[in-house]
Amino acid sequence: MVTTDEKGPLTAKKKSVIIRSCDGDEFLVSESAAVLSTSLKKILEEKEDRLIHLSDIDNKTLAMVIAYLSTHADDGLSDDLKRSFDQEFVSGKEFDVLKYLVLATDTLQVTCLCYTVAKKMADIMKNKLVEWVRREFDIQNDYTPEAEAEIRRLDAWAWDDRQLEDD
Amino acid sequence: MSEYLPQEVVIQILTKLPPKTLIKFRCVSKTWNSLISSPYFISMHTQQTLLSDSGTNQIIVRRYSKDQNSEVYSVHLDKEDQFPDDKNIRIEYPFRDCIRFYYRIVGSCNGVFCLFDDLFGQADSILLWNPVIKRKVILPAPQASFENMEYYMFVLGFGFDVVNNDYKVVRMAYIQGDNGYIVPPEVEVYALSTKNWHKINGEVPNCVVEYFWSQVLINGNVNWVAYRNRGKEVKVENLIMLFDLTREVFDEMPLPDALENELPINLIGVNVKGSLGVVHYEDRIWSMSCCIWVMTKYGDVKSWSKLYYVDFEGGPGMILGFRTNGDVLLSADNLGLVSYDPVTGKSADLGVHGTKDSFYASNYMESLALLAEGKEARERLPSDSDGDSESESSMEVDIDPYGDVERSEFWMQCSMSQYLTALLKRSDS
Repeated sequence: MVTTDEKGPLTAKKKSVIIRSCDGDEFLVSESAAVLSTSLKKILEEKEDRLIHLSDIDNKTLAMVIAYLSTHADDGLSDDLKRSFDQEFVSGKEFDVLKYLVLATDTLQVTCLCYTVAKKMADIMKNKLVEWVRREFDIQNDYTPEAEAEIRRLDAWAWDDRQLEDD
Repeated sequence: MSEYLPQEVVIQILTKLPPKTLIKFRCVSKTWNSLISSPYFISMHTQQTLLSDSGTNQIIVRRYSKDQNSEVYSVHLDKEDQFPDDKNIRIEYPFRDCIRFYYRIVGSCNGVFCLFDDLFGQADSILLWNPVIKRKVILPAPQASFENMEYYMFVLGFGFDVVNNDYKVVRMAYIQGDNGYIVPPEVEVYALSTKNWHKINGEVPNCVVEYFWSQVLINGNVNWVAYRNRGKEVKVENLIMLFDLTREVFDEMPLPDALENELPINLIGVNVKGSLGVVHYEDRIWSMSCCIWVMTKYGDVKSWSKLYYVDFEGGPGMILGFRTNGDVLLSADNLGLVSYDPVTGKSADLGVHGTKDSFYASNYMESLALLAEGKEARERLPSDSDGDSESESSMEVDIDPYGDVERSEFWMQCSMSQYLTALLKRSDS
């Protein structure tokens, strides 16, 4: 279980690890939770150091990932409870937040969470306009208007039956 | 922190979208277009769908509707006690004018259908079709061509070669001799990756697959019920003939003793929840009941077990497959699609109507297969025809110019049944 020491700077007790976000905050995590991330597991196997610095994951995102890891490392919880935790975990989250999360789970190699977050993102994208996708993924449209119109014309049926959302 | 998402993360997300959405998202950018259209992405997408729930709970049903003079396809959600239409998928049927009545469905795999037009006349076209993205591939003519096609019978198999990421069709061409079909048949294999047919090197078993064959795809092997004409002592020996789509070799397996000497036309392969099954009809045409044998452990001959007995009650019926709740799907004369509980013997009318023999049902999943290779396949409604006067006049003629579909189905079955009976009697004497 995760224990936090409110009084002073964090010190890693036996079987726990300190993870520092790119904002500088530190999180105390049990080793059993940390090793659910393939990347953290590798780091821990390679060096004795109990302090891991993640230079590209921010506070907010890291806190979410750690909450996920701790829940999944808890042997006292049934698989059903973990599954409903997963659903709860992604529900209502903004697409932007999910983007940071999916990136973090990719860096940390947490396969299950990566799947859950990617699935949630896909569910949100399903009824969105092409323009919305370009904005959210920061993609430049490199088609000429003619070329894009041609692709739309060839499979016009795919556009015909549903109201698409732009927000 | 950069918001840039690496390609493998983008793939993780996109593989969880339905094909129709992905067709649209090819417009996002040229990079997304080539990614979504690539064989790598399409196979990742297929694997992802197979792993998810949506890959396991949909059943596609095909039948011929006499009212519409056309084949009709629908996708259903296979729920415990319901079988509702899947509102998200509407399947357009694009081949209305290409075929007399309906195609033989060779098989379906990863959302792709292999269709063959040999049921009601001369066989001359084989096609692959992915209905959900409206793509088709018309296969070229095989290399072995025959002067007079009427004296040949073709048996096909279709499936996906997982190792080479390739869709394949195997064709066996039997020449009809005086004493039955001549063995071994000529064999050719079509691979979608090469878009052409090629010969195979291995040996071809000396057996015949009966005309009303239906394939069962298990573990990358196409399986058919086949028979060997033994001549004097034993009339006929039935067996399972199989083709490994990856290695492109044939093999055979024995059937249970009880089925070994049955009239071949009464035995039909069926997929029993992922296992190889054989339906044993009392009599192919008039059957009021049947038994289903299942090879519970694929490849283990000792595992053949007689697991089901189905009573068709109202009249002749045909087994189509199984639902996840254990019910048998069957088509019955006058009733259409029926869900039959083999434990209680109770049956439920599912409200899907068509001619008995035209029914086909199998598990279904949407996929992007054929996106790159296929040509557009769109529905052509009678109103699409060019001249107004022409369409009006065809509206007045309300009879099928080719005669009745059910009479044709019946005639085909009777003639094949008589042919086989005569053939096997002759070799007996």
